Amino acid sequence: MSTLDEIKTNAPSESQRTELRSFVNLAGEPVSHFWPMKTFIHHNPLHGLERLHFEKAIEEAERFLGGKGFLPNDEYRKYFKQGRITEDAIIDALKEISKDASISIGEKNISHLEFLKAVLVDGVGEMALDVAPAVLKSSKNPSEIKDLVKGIQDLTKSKKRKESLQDYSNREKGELGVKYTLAQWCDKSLGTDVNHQLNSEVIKWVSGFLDEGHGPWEMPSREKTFYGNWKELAQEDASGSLLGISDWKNKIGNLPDRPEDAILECMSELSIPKELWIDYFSLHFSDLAGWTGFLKWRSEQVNYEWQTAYPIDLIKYIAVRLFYEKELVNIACRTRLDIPGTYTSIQAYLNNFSVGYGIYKDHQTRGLPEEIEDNTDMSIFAQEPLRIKELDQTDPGLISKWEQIRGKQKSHVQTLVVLHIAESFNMRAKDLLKSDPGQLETLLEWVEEFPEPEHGPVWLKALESSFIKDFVKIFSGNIEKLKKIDASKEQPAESRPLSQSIFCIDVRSEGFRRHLEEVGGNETFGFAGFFGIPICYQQFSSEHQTDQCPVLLKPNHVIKEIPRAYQANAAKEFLDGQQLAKTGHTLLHDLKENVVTPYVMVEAIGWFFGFRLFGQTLQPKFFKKALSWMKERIDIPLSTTLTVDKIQREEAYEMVASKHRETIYRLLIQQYGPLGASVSHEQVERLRKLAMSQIEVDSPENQELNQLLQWTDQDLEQFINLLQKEFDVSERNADRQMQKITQTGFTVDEQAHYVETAIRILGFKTFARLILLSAHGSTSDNNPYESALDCGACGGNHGISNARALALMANKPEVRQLLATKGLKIPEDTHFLPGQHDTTTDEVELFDLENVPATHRKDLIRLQRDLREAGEKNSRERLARMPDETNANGVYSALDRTKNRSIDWSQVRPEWGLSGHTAFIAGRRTLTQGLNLEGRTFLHSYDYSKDPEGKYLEIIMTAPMIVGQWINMEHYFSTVDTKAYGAGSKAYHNVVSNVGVMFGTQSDLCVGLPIQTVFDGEKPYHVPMRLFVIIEAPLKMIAEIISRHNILQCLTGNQWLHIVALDPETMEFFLFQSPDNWQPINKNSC
Amino acid sequence: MDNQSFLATIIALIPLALGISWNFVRLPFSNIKIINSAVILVAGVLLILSGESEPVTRFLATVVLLSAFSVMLCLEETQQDSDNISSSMVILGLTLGILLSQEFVSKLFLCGALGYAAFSLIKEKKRSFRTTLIIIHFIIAFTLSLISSLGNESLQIISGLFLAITFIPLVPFHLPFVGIIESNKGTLSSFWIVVWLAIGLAQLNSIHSSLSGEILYFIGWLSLISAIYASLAALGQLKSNLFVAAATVAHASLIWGLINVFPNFPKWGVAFGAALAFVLGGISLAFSFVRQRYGWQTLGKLPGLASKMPKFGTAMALLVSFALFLPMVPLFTGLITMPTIETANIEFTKLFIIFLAVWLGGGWFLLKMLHQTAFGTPRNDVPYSDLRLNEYVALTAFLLGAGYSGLLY
Repeated sequence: MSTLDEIKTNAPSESQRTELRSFVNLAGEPVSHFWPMKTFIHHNPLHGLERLHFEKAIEEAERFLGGKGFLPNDEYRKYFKQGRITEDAIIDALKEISKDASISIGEKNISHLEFLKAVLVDGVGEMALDVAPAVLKSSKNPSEIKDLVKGIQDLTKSKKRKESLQDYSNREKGELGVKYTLAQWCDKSLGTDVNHQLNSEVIKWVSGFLDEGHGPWEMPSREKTFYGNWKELAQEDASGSLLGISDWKNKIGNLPDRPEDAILECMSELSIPKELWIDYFSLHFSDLAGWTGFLKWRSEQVNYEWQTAYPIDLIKYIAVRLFYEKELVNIACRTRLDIPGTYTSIQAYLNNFSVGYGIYKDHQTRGLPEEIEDNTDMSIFAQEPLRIKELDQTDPGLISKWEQIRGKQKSHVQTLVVLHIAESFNMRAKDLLKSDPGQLETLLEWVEEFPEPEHGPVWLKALESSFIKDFVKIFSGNIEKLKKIDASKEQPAESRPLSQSIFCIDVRSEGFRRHLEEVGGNETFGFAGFFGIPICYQQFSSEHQTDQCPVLLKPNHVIKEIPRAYQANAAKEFLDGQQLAKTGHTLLHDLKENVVTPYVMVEAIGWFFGFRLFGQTLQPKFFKKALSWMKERIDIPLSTTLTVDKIQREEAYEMVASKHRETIYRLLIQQYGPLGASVSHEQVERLRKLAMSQIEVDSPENQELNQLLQWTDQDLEQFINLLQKEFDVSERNADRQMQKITQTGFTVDEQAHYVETAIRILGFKTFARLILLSAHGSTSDNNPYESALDCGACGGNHGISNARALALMANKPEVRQLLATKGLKIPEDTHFLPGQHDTTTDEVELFDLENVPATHRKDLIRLQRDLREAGEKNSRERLARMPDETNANGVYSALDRTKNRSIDWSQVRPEWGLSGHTAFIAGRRTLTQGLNLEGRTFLHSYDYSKDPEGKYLEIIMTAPMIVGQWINMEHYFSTVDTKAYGAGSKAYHNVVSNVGVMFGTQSDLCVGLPIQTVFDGEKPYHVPMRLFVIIEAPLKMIAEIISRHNILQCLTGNQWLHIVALDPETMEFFLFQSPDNWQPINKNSC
Repeated sequence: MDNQSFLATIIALIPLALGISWNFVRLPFSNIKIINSAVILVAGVLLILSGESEPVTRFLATVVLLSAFSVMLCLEETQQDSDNISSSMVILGLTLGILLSQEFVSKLFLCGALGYAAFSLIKEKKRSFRTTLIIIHFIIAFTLSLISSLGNESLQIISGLFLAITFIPLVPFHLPFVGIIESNKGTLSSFWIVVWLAIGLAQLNSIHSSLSGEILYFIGWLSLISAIYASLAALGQLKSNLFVAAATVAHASLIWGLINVFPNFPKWGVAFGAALAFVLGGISLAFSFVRQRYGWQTLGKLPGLASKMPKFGTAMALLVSFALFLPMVPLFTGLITMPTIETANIEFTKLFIIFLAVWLGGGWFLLKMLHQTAFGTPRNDVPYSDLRLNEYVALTAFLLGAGYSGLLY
């Protein structure tokens, strides 16, 4: 390690910087990416740790992020009492850790397995040392208890395990820099506020820097990168001096210009050993995991406009953090301990004054026993610096007394533990007294081997095992149907259904699909909501593009929404209206955010906002209707289409050339009037080519043009320069335009490929006259998490653009012709119709209706009626699951109620979203048809018989299934730890920087889902389990696909999800253990 | 001795005798509890039948009996409560004797109470300079109470004032009170708060009209110092019983501070004092339940009790809310009786500062205590159990008593 002086005198070498960068990148792994809230992406908060086994990753995450990986044991016990976890499942889960041993307690012989089950179901009964004596005092039969305590105190091994005051310092020496940063250690041990101060400062700077147009006043100098910006502005910020950092301005001014150098300097000053650096950086990143996750994501988006303009990355971020830490820790250590704030000095202090520190910590954490307090000068704990050195000189007799008291308390705890376990076996204290001390000793050893914090993994396994065994049973009826279908060699002729609808695999589609099928004659399919076409979509009149595909994919094709050809005038009016609205909005915003104008504004037009306030609060439905009515009268109706066709290079060239020609004509007319208008097309083309540098300016062929316009050569040159510079008629501009144009859309081959893939994956047997491609989105008010309710497969956006694009492709005659050559014949009268299912209101809006042939009018009317009926039924079913909906069984319009939820700005739970999901099923619809899966399963249509090579299954397993797993893990962790992985309560959320939400005015960015999404009051609504992916396909095919993909091997091998195969041969379910090991589930149940 | 005095002495002697006898007679705990409860109820009935004409005395005796009954209700069959069950009856007997008996007999009971308090302090507390000071204080109080009956009026006033300042504790005469509260464990400390203040109120009631302007001026300043000192002490206290003791001293300073503002002490002062006794006694009782369950009395080490023990949380929040409004209570009642002419010359600033110190200080330390106990994240390693019915009833009785005393009486 370089010394500080070396670093200060000699700038670090490039290799040192490179090494540091790699350390920082590795250290960032435990922190998961966090996408901006406007496109909320469900993701695994432990994504960076997926290379580890699920349980190991949870341990690591607990170290860094402080999150719990399992529900509290009491919750699992409730599931056990409710029957969600079966006794058999518990025994199965325990078999892995049980050993072939038993003990005799009283007259009972207890096997290790029985013991494990008892402590799992009834708990260990362990409690804190400080409360155990009081709890024991209130026990019945005090004399027996007294004897039992005595007996346990006499156990030899217990004596050996007695607590010592040095344990505190020994433990903390090992944890310093590995489990806690120096700042965290100061707060934890010295009762300071260093980490809070550090985080407050960092949040202040980061939130200002990362602001994406939310703050009324923009932070200046952001183009200088985060570190440079901070270094410049912080010198003028008084908060550092107020925190007590001396010589604040100079210290920052003297920091190196490169953040890497600043980090090396800080690490050297903090004297953190190099072998701890990665862990140390991870601890810092995890401390504000939300902000770090966001800037980690942003730093990787090379084309993200905000990142391009204002760069930030982990290096720059930690450089600032470490500077604050170094200074604040130094102040804290000098004030509280009178030592420098460095790793080595703290270690030395803990080493040298271990007894004194132990007394101090015991006082701080548990409170000293009264007998010790009475003989200790308590003022030592209230003085600065702490007189720990004096405590270190404490009378050995008193220390031995402390050990004696704590030892006794430990015996009390152990007594309570054995009494608790005995109760599980219907034994009493007297039975325990009859037991051999050796047996009691073994019992206590078993307890130590299986402490309560380690029960979580066993409970989870038992819960999952109970679930899947029960879940697969519900398919038994449908499996019989499948068996019959598969057994009959001659397949019955497929009749055309009244309509076919392709919905997203989203769990919310399950109920809707079921009801749509029940309405009669409708067939439904499940497909990833982006319909397999990864596009970058630009809405008409919008300047921004959105990636309409899972974040795993990077779209290469741009699709733009454009007005239909006949709507040119309407489009112009629309754009003018938009411009006016934008100007009005900007004006209002500026007036609101100005320092002076709000005083006048509030008097002048403040009352106007009262309409919204009262309308939306008291009569939201009426207010919304009134608003829509007004909008209808103001808005210019505009019919649009999408640019799905790829424009060939020649055509694009011609389009750009045509635009250039138009520009030249205009300029000529503007400058020369009728004379300019009389210039021939050939001469205009010549001018264009001259501007494009395709021909020389001094070419003799230009003479005709010069004569016509009475130009000299200089005039011509001047005109060309004007065209190039002022009107962008240049080669460079043409290339840029061409690139933009040719990036748009798909070739016919590509379109045919996407349509074919979709149809083949879904296993279409026949085609209805009308096929609905139903995307989905949601509607809610005052909900920063709105995009979390949108389509995950479309990158947290509404999916209608993808549905429209696929419909346009599938309806195209050229595409159909091409498909026919590939053996996929779509009847001519089949029309693909795009639509969008609003998952909050259960309304389906149909798009591009003007493309529907007149011959399909009746089919369309029937479909619309069926969709409305299915929506009503689905809403009714969903409302019954809403805890705040009363009288869900009476006569009412369910659609009205769900609509109300979507416009109520006080509604914290407009819908349950994806909460409650349990499984992902890829198989034929017959497997799930008619079953009420309660909106808890992702349903992907797949027919293995039409995919002999498994290439479509491979697509499913590597894209939609992964998205499902991300969603599943997001919900899992948001439920098991609502604070560390979830987003706490929505009620306290505050939108910050337009990128996320935080609590109050300063907190970490909230990652994960709010408590209202996954909890029903106090109890979890979402049952946290790893996703069960049930695939109807040959075992071998699935195993081969898994072995071909590292990501699948990682997810299955490390148990981040469970793969269950429905073997088409035996029609039995098998759980994937390894490619060669499939464990049958409920062998006789199917 | 007339019949009324005789009956009063009997009412006092029965619990006293019972309390002493429980140290020798071996009966099941539940039987003792029933007998004690019955005796307290009978004493209450006898109090009504005795025709006690002095309303202040009758009221204070009722306050003591109600708190004794509530405390009795909460006693459990543990070693500590086995000691407390006899002690509480002895204290009850002595207090009733002080309140109901006349002149010399009352002084004898007072000496008994002081002696018993000193004895319990010596028994529990290790010797220290502070203990020595307390013992000296007790000796002075004991002597003064004995000789006051024999001396002239001024001696009687001085001894009465000393006793009143001891029992309605003002800094620096608060040490015996703090010592007693610190050394008595469990529900007994709660009972001592009520009893101590009740005796003090009775003493003050007997001398308040005789206090000269100079004495009142001096007491006014002392109460200001006391209010500030005790508020600061409460802020720094970590142990629950010492916290309650400091809070009581802070609030008690208001009684002294207002005594030269509102002339009708029996009307407002006794009611305010009784309300104060109930509220602070209630808080102490609630803490004793926590200590009994988890062995804890250090504030901040057992947070989040409201979520794990909602009944406890509710009771504690109500008691704290009441305590926060206590400074207002005498004003409400005082206003009724406040003749404008007599308030014209008050040292308004001094009173205002006392009031502010108690109210703001109280708001600070009581809410801090509430945050440290009722709110926060509960510990996972503690087997929480909420208040039992008898405990909840006892706390409710204290709350109702405080409400009646402070608002209705």
